[in-house]
Amino acid sequence: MTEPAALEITHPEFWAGDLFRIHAAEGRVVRLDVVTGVRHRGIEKLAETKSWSRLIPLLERICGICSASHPAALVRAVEELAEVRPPERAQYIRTLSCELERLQSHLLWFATLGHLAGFETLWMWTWRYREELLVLNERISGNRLIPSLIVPGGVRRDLDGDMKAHARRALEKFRPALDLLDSQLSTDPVLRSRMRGIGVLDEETARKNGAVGPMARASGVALDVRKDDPYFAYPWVDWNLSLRADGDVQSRAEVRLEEMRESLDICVQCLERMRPGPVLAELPRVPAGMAVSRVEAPRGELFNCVVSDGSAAPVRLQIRPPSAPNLKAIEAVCPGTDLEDIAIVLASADPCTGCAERVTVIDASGAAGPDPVRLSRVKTARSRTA
Amino acid sequence: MKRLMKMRDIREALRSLFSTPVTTDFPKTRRPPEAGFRGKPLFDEAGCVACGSCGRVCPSGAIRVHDPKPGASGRKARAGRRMEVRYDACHFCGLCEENCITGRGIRMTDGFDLALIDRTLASELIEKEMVFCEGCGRGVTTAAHLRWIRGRLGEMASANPSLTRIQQEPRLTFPASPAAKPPDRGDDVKILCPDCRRKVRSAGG
Repeated sequence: MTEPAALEITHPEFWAGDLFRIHAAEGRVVRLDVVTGVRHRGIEKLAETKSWSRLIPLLERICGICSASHPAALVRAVEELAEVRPPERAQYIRTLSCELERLQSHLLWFATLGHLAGFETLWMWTWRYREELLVLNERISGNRLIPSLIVPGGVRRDLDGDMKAHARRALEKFRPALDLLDSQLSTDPVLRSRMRGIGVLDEETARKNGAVGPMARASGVALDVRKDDPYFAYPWVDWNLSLRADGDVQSRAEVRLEEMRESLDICVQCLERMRPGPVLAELPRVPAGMAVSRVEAPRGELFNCVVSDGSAAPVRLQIRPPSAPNLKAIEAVCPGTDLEDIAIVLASADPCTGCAERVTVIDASGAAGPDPVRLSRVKTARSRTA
Repeated sequence: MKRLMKMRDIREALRSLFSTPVTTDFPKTRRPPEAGFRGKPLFDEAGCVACGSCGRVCPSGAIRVHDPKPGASGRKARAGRRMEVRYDACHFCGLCEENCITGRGIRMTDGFDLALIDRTLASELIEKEMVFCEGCGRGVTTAAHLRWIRGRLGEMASANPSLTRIQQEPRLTFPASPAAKPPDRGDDVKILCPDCRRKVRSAGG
């Protein structure tokens, strides 16, 4: 038997610089190691130096694509700590912003899929329709990608004047994009052959590795924070959970496409149901305490833990982003996959480095080790008492 | 199935022949941003009182407030407060505009084409006349800021002699060096910083 050849894919443009170490033999993947820490930016530490209002622009920059979800997770925790109830209209606008983000993120996923599978036209089509969403985002929030809309207590901007009608029109104009994607997925035999039965993640492996988001839902795990722990305006609108059982790349594409249809419906419902009223409640001083929160980012469950000592800035902010568990799940999927398919399989997890750059210690047996931050603190405490 | 796909391709090709292209104009034309776009922040000379609150809320430190150094002599000592916004550090969150005390001191404009070869040029400056403490010589704030506070307080401003004098004297002059003698009640009519005002008022008499 030959020694597995190591194939390292490292390029700054390759999905924002994830390092996948692929061990391959005879054209098949033997093992995949995901190496994180290549692009560690220390955002959690930086967050401890920022006051609550200055924290939002920082968290938006963890990932340019999930720029509404990261602040959303923080404001859920902060509002729980400060016991603030944001106005109803603000909740609808927040939901609208989060769903617009999901729409453009999933479109980006289809673009990547098209690009990696050699369907450049699919890429260009999705890019063209995504542009319309970004322009709508700019109209609503003042920026194409980074909305800076969600703040503790509500939203920074109201939908004024003819904005509602404009948003409705823009969303309706977007609907053909979904039909186009649908026809591609269902009729194109080449595209289907590239996705059907590839990178199968079964339900048990998905659960064991803690897969979240569309990745888990494509494997039959009914997991969605918007249903399990409803927040913002999600309990007030009607929508269905998309679920597939096969767990292959095709299922992940179908789940995302269905989710985009649901997102579009949620957006339209939000626009219809919002009533005039205030959009920002006063945020009192954030008291000392700890709060945890989670939201459904486009890639899956995003978890935040906020510790406050009553001062103007958090003492500790821990973020568990969706890409980290999904990358663990993809590690389990890859052995046995053809090297030709590996790019699509990796992309189907929608990995995001900005998201996943957190430190995890893995010991030789493969089990997750203790948290290095905690170890360091215990050591400091021990040195003090010694 | 193959024939169906061919038909679709032909239809797409025909449509592309007779419709305007998706790509934007060449040579480049500037796409006007949507209303409410958060672009290049600009100080408004008339609206800004140089209080410095935008610099305090700026998350990326793009807005800097340069005060003349205490104890500086000559021309430097008479220099005003300079407000600087650096576009290369700005990330266009709009917190400065939101927290502006006058509401029209700094505005997010629709400028987005901000690429430059020389990074040092990526800044805008405005300067405002500074008011110095006649007791210790330290900078208090800008004259425009004091006048703005006076306008907000109305007749209540009479309680503070600094605010009264800023209204009465359009052009202020300050001694080159701080007063040598310790403060007494007579100094209460002067323009003073909060520390000196406290000392003067607690001097007794």
